[in-house]
Amino acid sequence: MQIFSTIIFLLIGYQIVQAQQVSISGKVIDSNDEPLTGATIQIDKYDIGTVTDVKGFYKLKNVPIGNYVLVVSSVGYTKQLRTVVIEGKSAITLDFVLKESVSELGEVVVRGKSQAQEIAEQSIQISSIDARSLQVQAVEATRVLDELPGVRIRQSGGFGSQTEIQLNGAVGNAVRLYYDGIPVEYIGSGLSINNLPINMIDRIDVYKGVMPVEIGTDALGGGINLIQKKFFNSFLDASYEIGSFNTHRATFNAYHAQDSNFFIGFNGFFNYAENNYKMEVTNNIYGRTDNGNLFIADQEDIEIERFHNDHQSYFAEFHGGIRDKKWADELSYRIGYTSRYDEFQHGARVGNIPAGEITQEENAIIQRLTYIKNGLLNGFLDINYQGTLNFVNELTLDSTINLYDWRGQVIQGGRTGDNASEVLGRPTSRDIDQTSTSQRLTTVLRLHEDHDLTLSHFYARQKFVGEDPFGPQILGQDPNKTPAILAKNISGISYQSRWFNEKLIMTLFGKYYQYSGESIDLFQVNASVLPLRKFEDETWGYGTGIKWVVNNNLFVRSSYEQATRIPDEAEIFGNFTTARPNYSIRPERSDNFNLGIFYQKYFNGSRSVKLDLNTFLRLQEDLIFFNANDISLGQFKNQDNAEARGIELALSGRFSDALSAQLNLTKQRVINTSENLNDVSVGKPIPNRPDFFVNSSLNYSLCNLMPQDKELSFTWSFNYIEEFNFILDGGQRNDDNWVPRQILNDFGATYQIKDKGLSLSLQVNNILDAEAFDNISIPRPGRNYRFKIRYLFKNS
Amino acid sequence: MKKARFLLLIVLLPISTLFIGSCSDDDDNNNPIPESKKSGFVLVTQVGLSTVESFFSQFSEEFPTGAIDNTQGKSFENFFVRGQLGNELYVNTVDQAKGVSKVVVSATGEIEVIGELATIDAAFPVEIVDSNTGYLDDRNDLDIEIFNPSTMMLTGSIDMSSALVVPQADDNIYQEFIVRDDKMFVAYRPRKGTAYASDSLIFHVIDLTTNTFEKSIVLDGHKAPVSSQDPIIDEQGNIYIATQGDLTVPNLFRPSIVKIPAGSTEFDPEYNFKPIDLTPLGAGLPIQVLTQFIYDANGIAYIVGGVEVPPTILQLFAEKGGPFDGNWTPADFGIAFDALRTEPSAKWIEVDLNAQTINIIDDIPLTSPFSGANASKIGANFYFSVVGDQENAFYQYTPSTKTGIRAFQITDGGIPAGLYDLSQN
Repeated sequence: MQIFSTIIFLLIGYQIVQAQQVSISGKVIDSNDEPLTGATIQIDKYDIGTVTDVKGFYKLKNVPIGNYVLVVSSVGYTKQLRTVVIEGKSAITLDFVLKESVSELGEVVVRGKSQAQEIAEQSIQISSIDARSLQVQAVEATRVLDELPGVRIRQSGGFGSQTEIQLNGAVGNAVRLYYDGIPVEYIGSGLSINNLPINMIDRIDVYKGVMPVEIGTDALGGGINLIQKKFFNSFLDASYEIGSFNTHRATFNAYHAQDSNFFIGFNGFFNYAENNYKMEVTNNIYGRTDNGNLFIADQEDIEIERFHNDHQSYFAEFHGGIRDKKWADELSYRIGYTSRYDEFQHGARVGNIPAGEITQEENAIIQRLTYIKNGLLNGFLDINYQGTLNFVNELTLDSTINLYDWRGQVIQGGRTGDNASEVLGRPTSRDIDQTSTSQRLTTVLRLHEDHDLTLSHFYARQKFVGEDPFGPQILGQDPNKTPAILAKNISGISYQSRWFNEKLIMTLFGKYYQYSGESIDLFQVNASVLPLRKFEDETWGYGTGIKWVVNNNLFVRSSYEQATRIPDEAEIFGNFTTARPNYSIRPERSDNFNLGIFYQKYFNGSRSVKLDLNTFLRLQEDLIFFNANDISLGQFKNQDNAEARGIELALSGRFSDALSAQLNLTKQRVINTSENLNDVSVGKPIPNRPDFFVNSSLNYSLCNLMPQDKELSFTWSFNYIEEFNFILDGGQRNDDNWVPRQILNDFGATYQIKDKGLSLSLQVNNILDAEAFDNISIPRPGRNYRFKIRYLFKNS
Repeated sequence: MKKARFLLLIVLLPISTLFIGSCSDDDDNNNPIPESKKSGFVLVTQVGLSTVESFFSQFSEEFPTGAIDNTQGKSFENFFVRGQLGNELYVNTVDQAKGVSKVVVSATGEIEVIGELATIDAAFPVEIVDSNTGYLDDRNDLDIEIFNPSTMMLTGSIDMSSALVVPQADDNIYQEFIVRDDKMFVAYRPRKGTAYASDSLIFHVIDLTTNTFEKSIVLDGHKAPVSSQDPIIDEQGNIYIATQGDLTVPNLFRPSIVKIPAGSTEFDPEYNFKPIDLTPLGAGLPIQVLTQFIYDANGIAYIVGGVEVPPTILQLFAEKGGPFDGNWTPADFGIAFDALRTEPSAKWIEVDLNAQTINIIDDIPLTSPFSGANASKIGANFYFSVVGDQENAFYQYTPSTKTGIRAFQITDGGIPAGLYDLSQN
């Protein structure tokens, strides 16, 4: 204890001494005295930089004594350089006024740390993509995400189709998806990674195994947060994209600041894709018996176009609010409507019988109230509140007596009785209303310049009620008509401290999870009236992150979280169709470890190199799987443990103003570590997870060969996925069990006319028309094209 | 210099993929199927994964002995063997498609699929009569399909629209085909719910000379026929059918063996052999199980019969105040069924179908009755699967000496799912 006290005393003493170091702070505004948010302030000699906050303020800490040039830049403004002489003062105030630059109206790449880079350099392992620089290109968010180390995105059949995220060996529900910090399960699937255009996103943050309390809910293997586009000045951003397979995408973002305090905005998107790409299938040729029954008379291997694979979705949102008031940095209200319609060509696998009628529709009204106030009580307190109230309707239709062949022909009366469904196993017409709310309050107490305490509480409640006239009746009742409710309370506390001129940054956090719910009790089969069954449980989690800055170019970091995922409503209460309740189901748990090293070096001019090497270990237990081997309905059960370990490398370099490249590499292995001695897969790799994949890209810009306000750039990216087996393979290889090695090359060209805010982009995906697969062995499109036009207008 | 190398690496990496990616696939799929093995053995094991089930199938020239790692064989998504004709195994398709695959062992010892017959819905049951005639049920409709095992082509169908259907069970599916001379006896199974949804044992009789439905026969007091790989028909032509009864309703439907006498197409109402009642705990067993049935000769057959109650189920009895009354929930039944998969509580039992007596084979340890109970007759011996805490093996039983001994242990690859002698006629 005495030793501990001594260390604390020494550390605090060191802090006090270091507090005498020089810091530079100030404000960056434009010529209209408007604060500039996101402006970059960089010291030329050192890799020290920061960005301004929403009020235009910045602060550079621990700047060594000497002479420097401060470089201040912002999108659409002329870069400003100012010589600074730092002597013995502890703090210097420098304000900047940037003049608007016609020639830099579009996005520019500035040397310095973007918000994405700031996030990516935290003590916990986060990959962050700055989507703004990609918005001139005709690329998908799923593809951008798929190129990150440790991440694999797999879909079930083209643009908009169902998505499975694999992150550091975690898969499915273990990886939570957030839209602007809101878990997407509360707002439906209308705003998700598979349909959200890149032009609606500022940033994508990927939390690898460790979730900060202000973001995380109950995520077992990490989470992906899609950050909605934010504006600080009047703005109009519109794009339209047309592509192969009758693909159309349009986005629209408008924002108007009435005066310095009031703002309104409208944004939305529309997506449509026929997804009728070609693939090779085995097609049945049907015949009929004398009594009219159907049989498969023959089969043929043919190339077909997918014919029941449409995706359509749209989103419209209005928002308004006030900002920069004494009592609120932001108080805003958003109301949006999402709608999506999906057809499904097949189930989890491509068989010889396609689906031709199953559809799913979802419509949702999403409302959000946001209140942000930083720096209360003389900078002591930050408050951030975000609440949502959402109404989601989902209709799943899978009921038909028709059978289809792969040529799209209808064979009437081909299905009967319980077989009259295409994918779900029995006729379904499930119409479910979800009413949900999520509330998050985060407060940051700035105990000291280098010591913060963050308190966060998240509350969410979902209520499901609906009907399925074709579904099973229980005691003559449709169980869907009895509301099912699931509520969660997740509290978090986090303490972050920065030591030795921020050379050492430590974060400690703890989380408390409580959840409860009620639903019809399917077990009370002998009751005359089915009673409600209530359920409640709680658990804890904790974690830490440490970052040690070796020098201005190099830091190492390590993080850990004992993570938890609360069972979903269907896992607890069943789904009335294929799964019965399991009231004793436990949360999934995982010990998540990260250890990484980060190196970045700037050279003369704009040349730089960056290396981010991370190793991870995930010890997962009580993983929930659906067990279909019971007497009638199956059941979700805690039944497996798994160990995932791997290494991921992100290497990038900028070799000149014109040329940059990056390479991402992931090697991982996921082993079944269950204690079930009857399960022979214990100790073996869990199938259907690729263990080696590489992404690389090369970007070349003709900026120096073009007029100043024009830019022509090229991007070449390639994606390599080593072959992997989707069931355990034996000593004698069975090629049918393997998804072949995939090598994909994409090419993109973008032409920007910056003074007009216009950009044109052509993207050729899978340029070599190589064989490619989505989940398991579902074929992906061959060579395909996208063309995008984007207009960006920024009002002065 | 290092920077230059780095730049070179980054530039060359995508370029190199042009050449790698453009390599053509020279696999020749038109190679003739090599000559197949006419003798040897195929051991099939089943892996019960949480998310995926798979099978390992391994060929060996000699009969397996000692410790067998069956993962050294070839894995398949499916490998439920439904029939055998010489060295050909007929299995439900080896991938996720529906139908039947014809499988042989190539001259190099690899399991190879040499023919497939696709069906609209699941193909079950399957009965191979000879190289020209087989029957299967495509569960998409009521009809029974006739096919040619040599060509794996459908050759006709049997209209079953006149067959008896239990109203609450929606329509017919079938559990087993038994071919005796020019008649086929088709075990009815309700489509909806579990096998227990029908309160009677129902068989449909087919006239194979005309391939027409003849009649449905009903035997009350029995339900849930146990499907066996080979029909149990004695030397006189008597057909024996094992029924499980209803596990969820004690003392009402208990396991039994019933008979369709030689020359008759009706159940023998007098024949009602309840072998489990003859075990030491007998009728006092609160849960009776019968899961496998294989014939030897002269009225002697073998079954897997429950002789104990798994500890987990005993605990449930204590908690619920007794077996299977109104206090039992579907979850309790689920736990009980899991216990029958994982807790050894059954024995291989010799049954004399004529004398209606039993002989529990003491040399073979307890096995888990719902976990791959499997039997093969190879030469003069039987090979019975045993799955328990310490055992995952096939035991050899010699009827002439009435002795059993472990033939080989399966150390990896799952629980036994079949042992096949390719030289079998």
